[in-house]
Amino acid sequence: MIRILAVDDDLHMLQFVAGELRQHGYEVISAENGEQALARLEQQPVDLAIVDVMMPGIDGFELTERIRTDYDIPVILLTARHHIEDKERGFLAGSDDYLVKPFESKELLFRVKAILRRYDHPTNNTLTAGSLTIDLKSYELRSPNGLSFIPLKEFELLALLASKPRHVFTRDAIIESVWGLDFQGDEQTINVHIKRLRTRLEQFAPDVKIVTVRGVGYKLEADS
Amino acid sequence: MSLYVKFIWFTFLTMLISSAISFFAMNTLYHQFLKEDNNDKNLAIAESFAGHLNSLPPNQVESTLDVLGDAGYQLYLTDGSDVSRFGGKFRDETIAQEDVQHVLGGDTFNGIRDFPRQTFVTGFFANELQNSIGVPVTLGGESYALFLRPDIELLFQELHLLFGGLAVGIVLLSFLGMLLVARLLIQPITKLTEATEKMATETFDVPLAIDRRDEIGRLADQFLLMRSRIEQSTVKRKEFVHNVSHDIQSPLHTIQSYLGLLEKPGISDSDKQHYADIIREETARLSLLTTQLLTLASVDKETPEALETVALHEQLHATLSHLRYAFDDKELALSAQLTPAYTLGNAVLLQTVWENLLTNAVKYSEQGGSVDVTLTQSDGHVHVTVRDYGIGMTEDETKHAFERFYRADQARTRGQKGSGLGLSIAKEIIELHGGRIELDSTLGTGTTVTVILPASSSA
Repeated sequence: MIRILAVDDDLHMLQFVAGELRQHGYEVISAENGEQALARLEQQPVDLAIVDVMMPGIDGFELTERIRTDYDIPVILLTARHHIEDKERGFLAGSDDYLVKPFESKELLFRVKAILRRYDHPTNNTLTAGSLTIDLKSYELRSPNGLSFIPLKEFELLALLASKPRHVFTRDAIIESVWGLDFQGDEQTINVHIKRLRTRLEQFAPDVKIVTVRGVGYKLEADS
Repeated sequence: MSLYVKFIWFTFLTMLISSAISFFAMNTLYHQFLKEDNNDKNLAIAESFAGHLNSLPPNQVESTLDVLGDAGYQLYLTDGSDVSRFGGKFRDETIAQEDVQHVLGGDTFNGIRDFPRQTFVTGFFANELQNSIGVPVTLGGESYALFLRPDIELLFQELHLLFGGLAVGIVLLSFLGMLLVARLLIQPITKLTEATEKMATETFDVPLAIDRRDEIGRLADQFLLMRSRIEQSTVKRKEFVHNVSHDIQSPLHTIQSYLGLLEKPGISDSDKQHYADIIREETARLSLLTTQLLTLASVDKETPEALETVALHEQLHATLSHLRYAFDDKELALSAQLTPAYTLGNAVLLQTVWENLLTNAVKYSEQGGSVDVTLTQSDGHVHVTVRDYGIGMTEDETKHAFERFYRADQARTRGQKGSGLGLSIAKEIIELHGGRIELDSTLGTGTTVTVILPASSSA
């Protein structure tokens, strides 16, 4: 199980963060200040730290620096007003990610997932299809037309199709791989995503096409 | 001490000091150069007198001396013991017996030349025997010493009066003139002071009729300019505070009323969820508003400080990455064509601009839509465009979009509530960087915002 250290002197915020993360299957250890956090880190290994910037004593910046020096784990900073101070900005730019309060739990989980994903792919890991490059680490698409971010589900769908070009993926296989076994949505969902992906590819990498294989599923083709 | 009193004192002191200095200077001049001339002039006169007296028969001597006395000379005739005086009297008849003997012995006495210098007495006017010319005369076979000097009092009596009158006139008229000038100078200052005092109580309409071309006129002009600016900013500030208060109050009222609804017994779960959603939305709005207000404060503060070369392609890439959550939440795709470009600016503020523009693009896009960002450089300018394919704006809304607290029609924007500050902040920041921001929007088709900034080299 993934273990996350949450550090915030605001108890309400700490309970909110810890509660949300626990609910989504993470193990959470919490600390109310920098000293406590460092003590907790010595006791057990941690995969990710979520650190509030404004804390009495050791503040978030200092704590992040110490975590960086002593442990090789990603840090997400929590900040109340992120673009005010230069010092703060420099730090935020250097951190793995930051969250501006107030945030919704969805955003917190999104960022935690993204950061863990990045740490899972320590080396560059890309797929190519025609003029299209799919970066599995940063979740970005690249083509002669520049750079593109597409929604995660669409990205995962595209990455799946591109992992085996010309291979036909059945709708069930796609749903299982992209949405998981406990997918609650209907048939329409996959259609919507395929349709959107096609529009996006038309703009961004017109040589790459998603072809419908009637009655079976979809495959990715690239003009050569 | 008021300026009037100061002026009078100043005038008085100036006169006093200048008189003293002039007196001292003239006295020095007299003793250095003039008294010798004066001595010689009077010596010539005395010798001429002596020559004439020497040749007179004894019975005419006295009458001649009388005439000379009447003509304006003070004469002091002595044979060493007896003294006869003609014409005006010497105020001080002290003279060394030795000098008298010298003259009796045939020498001349140059008293005017040898008169000692005194600080507060002009040698010229000193009516003393010591300050006279002595020549030997022989009257009726006997040696006499004749001392003489012009009778200044007699000769210059009217002149004294004239000069005295002139001096008094100069002094009085100077005071009068000074007062007049002072009045001319002080009056506008008094007016300015009154207007300034009124301004402290936010009264800006005190008329100020000062039409002058001198320094005070310039001061008055500058004052009027400053006053009208302060008036404008005061009006703006009040309007701003009014808007902010309203924007803080109205979500608070909504929250209060929905909290009341939540507390009612027996409401359904779906209603509960609905009320909670509304409350969350309103708190998000409040939070956004305060963030934007903080940004505004920093825009005012950070003016041209903290300038650095900003790699816009890197900054935009980082901002896009960071805002990915917002894009994903609405299932938006984002394509970005970022060619390397640099500008000189405040990185923190510029990032705020990109965040504001992108947040707007997300807000007004349809679910599943897309947003295009481009960064190009040409002719020494950097162009950043943010394009969405969302609901767009009417022409009228486009016109007002950069005004603080202006929001597009909320019925049409489906309750999308911003702070109404995002675009105006972006505009202020871009203009601070010497750039401009343009808005091109078509209702139902989408909006393109273009930011144009001066480019700089990467170094």
